[in-house]
Amino acid sequence: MAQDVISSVELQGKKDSAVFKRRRWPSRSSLRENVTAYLFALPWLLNLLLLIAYPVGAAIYYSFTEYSILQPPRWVGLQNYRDMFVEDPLFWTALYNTCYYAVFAVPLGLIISLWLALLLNQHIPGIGFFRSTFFLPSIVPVVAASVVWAWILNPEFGLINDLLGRVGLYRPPWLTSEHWSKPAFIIMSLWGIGPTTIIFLAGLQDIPQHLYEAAEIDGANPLQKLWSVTLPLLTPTIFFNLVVGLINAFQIFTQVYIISEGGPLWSTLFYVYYLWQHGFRFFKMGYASALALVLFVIIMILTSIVMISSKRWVYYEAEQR
Amino acid sequence: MSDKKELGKSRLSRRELLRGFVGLGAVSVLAGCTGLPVPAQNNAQPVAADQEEQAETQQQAPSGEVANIAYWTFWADRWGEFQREIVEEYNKSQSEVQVEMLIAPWGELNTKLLTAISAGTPPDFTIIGRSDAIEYAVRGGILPLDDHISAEPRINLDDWFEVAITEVQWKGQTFALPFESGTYAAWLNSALFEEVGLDPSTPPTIWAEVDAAAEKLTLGDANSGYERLGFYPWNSRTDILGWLAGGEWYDEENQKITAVTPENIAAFEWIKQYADKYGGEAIERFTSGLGGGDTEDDPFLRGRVAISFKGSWSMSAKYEYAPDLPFVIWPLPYREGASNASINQGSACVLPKGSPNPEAAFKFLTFMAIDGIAMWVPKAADMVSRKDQTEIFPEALPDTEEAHAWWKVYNDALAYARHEPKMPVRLFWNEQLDAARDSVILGQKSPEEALQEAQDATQKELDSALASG
Repeated sequence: MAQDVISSVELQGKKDSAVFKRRRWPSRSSLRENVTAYLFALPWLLNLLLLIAYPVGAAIYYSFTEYSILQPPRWVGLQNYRDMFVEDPLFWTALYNTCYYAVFAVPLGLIISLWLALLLNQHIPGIGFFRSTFFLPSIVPVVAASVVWAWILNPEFGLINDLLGRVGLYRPPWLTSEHWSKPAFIIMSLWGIGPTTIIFLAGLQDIPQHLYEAAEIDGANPLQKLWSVTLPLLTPTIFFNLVVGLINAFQIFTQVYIISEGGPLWSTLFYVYYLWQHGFRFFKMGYASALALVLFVIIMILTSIVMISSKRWVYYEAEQR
Repeated sequence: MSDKKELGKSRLSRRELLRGFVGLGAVSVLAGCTGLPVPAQNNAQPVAADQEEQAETQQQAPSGEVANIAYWTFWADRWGEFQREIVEEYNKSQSEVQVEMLIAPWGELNTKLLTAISAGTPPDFTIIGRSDAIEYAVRGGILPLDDHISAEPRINLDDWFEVAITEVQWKGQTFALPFESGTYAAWLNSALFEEVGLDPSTPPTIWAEVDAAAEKLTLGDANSGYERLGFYPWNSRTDILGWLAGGEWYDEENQKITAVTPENIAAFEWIKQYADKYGGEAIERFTSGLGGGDTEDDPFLRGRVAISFKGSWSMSAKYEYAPDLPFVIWPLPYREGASNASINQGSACVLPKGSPNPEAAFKFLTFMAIDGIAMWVPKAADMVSRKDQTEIFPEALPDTEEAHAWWKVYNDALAYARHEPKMPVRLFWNEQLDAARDSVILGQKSPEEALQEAQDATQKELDSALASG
C-alpha cells in the first residue's frame, strides 16, 4: 500500500466535498495485469468488432440503399422502409405468419417443457436415460429433422394422419393446406424443447427442499405445492425461457427453406425466409437489410415488454413480496 | 504491489511469455481470417488460406507460361465426376491453360458466386443455369463476351439453336455460350392405356383428348382418395401451359408482362377444370404422398400417374429404374387451335465479373461450349444446344430403335421450344406464377384474378429493377 497516494479532489461544483475521490494513476504492475487481461480478451473483442459490430453496422447502412450485391450500393434513403410498410402486402403477411407462429409455439413450448421438466425431476433409477432421450431430438440436424417431419405430416401416408385416421378423427391436409400449414410448423417446433426442458430442470433443482416440506406440513396437495412453491420460484427461469423462446421463434428459417418455401399460398411465408428471398434470390440486399433492421426492432420491443412486465411476476429468491 | 516483486523474476517472465503467445495467437488469427493482399500484378488475386480453389493466377503470358484458372461447377456426385473427366481431357490436350475444378452443389453455387463476385474473388469461369444468366448480366455480374467471340474463329453464333443463344443475349450483347439443353415432352404409360382400352400408339395431341383419356385412367375419387391419376396439368412447369395454349408471358420489346391474355387465361382454366373435377385439395393430398421425380419412386414409373410431362433428363432415370415399363413419348399436347410448344432450359458458360484471367478462361469456355458438351452428352444424357450436334446419342440410353425415336422427339422440340422470359426479376415472376396457379388449384381465385395479381406484382418489380439497372 506504500504506493497508494490518496489525494482529495474537489468534485466539480461542490465546495464541501465530503467524498474524497481516490484518483491515482494505476501502478505499473497493475497496468501490466490490465494489458494481459485485454490481450486475452482480444480474440473475442476482435470477433465482436469484425464479425458482429461491423456486419450489423453495414446492414444498417445497406438498409438505406438499393444493393444487388453485384453492383455497388445506391443510396435511396427511406425508400426501402416506405416500400415495406406501404407498398408490400407480403411484408404484412410474413409478419402476421411469424407472429401467429410465435404466439402459439412459444407458450405451448414453455408449458410442455415445464411439464416434462416436472416429470424428469424425480430421483428414480434410470432418470438420466430419460433426460438424455428427451434432449436428443434437439441435437438432430435441423435439415434432416425437417425432411423427416415433412413425411410424418404427410396427408396420405404420414404417421400423424395414420393415427388420427385409425381413431376415426379428421385427417388434416397439413402442409398442403394454407390453413393447416402453420399448425404443422408449430407441432414441429415442439420437437425441439430439449434445451428448454433442461433449463427448467436446473431451475427446479434450485428450489429448496425445505419449502416443499413446509408446504406439506401445512397440508398442501401436489397441485397447491406446484402453484404456491414451484411456480413462483421458477419464474426467473420461465422469464429466461420466454425471452429466448420469443427471440428464436421470430427467426425460424431452416424448416421453411427445406419444407415449404413459403407455400402454399404464402401461408408459411415467415419473416426470415422472406428476408432471405429478397437478399439472395431477388438481388435486393438493401431491402433485406431493412427487413432485418425492422425485425431487430420488433424483437427488441417485445423483449422490453417482457422485461418490464417481469417486475410484476418474476420473484427472485431473496426478495420480499 | 510490492509483493509481486518479492516473488522473483520467474513469475513476471512467465507472464511475459504468456502475453507474447496470446499476442502472437491474436495476430495469426487476424492474418488467417482476413488474408493479407499480395502485391498485385494485373490479374493476380489475394491468396487466402482457406480458399484452396483459387490457384495463383498470372497475367496472360507469352506462350510457354501456363495460365491456371479456377472453374466452379454445380454438378456433383456422378455428374461431378463426368465434369472432372472432361476437365482432365482438356488439361491433357494442351498446356497453355490448366483448369482446376471446384464443386459447389446446385443450391450453393448461386450464393457462393454472388458473395465471391462482390468480394472480388470470383472464379475465372463457371457454368450457371441459363435462365439466371440475364439476371446476372443486367446487374453486371457476368462479363459480355462479344470481343472474345469475334476474336475466336471457331465461334459462330448461328451454330446454336436460336432459343438457346437468344436466352443469353441482352441489349445486343452476348453474355454466355450455352452448354447443355433440356426440353419437355409428354409420356404415357402404354400398359395402363391398354388396360382401359385406349390405344397407346395414337397419343392425345390436343387438350380435349387428354381430358378424355385422363378420365378413363383415373382410379378413385375425391372423397376416398385416389389410387391413380390419369393426368393433372400442374405436374411440371406452369409456364409451358401458357405457351401450349398459344399465349406469351412476356413482351420483351416493351418489357411488359403479358399474363392476362385470353390464351393464358384458357391455360389456367384448364388447371381449374381439373381442380374442380377431381378436387384440387384431393389431388394435392395424392401428389404429396408420391415419391420424388426421376427416382425409383417416380410417380410415373410406379404407375401412379398415367400421363406426365417430363424433361429429356428423365429418360436415363427411366431406363435405370423401370427399364421394362412400356411407354410412349410424344410432343406436348396443346390446346385446340394452338401449336407445338415446349421449353428449353439448360445451363450456360459464363465469365463472372472480376474473373482474374478472362483471356485464358475464354479459351476453356470455347472448349466447353463446343467440345466439352459433345463429351458431356453421351455420359450425362443431357441434350445439346448446337444444331450440328443433334446426332450425338447418350450412352446411358439403350441403343434401340425405340430409344432413338424418343430422343428424336426431344431433339425436334429444340426447334420450337421457348425459353423462360428474359427479365431481371425472373425468380420473382416464377414464384408469382406458381402462387397464382396454387390459388386457382385451391379455389381461392379465378384464373383471371390470379393472373392479374401476378402480372401487377411482377410488373412493379420489373419496372423498378429496369429503372435502376
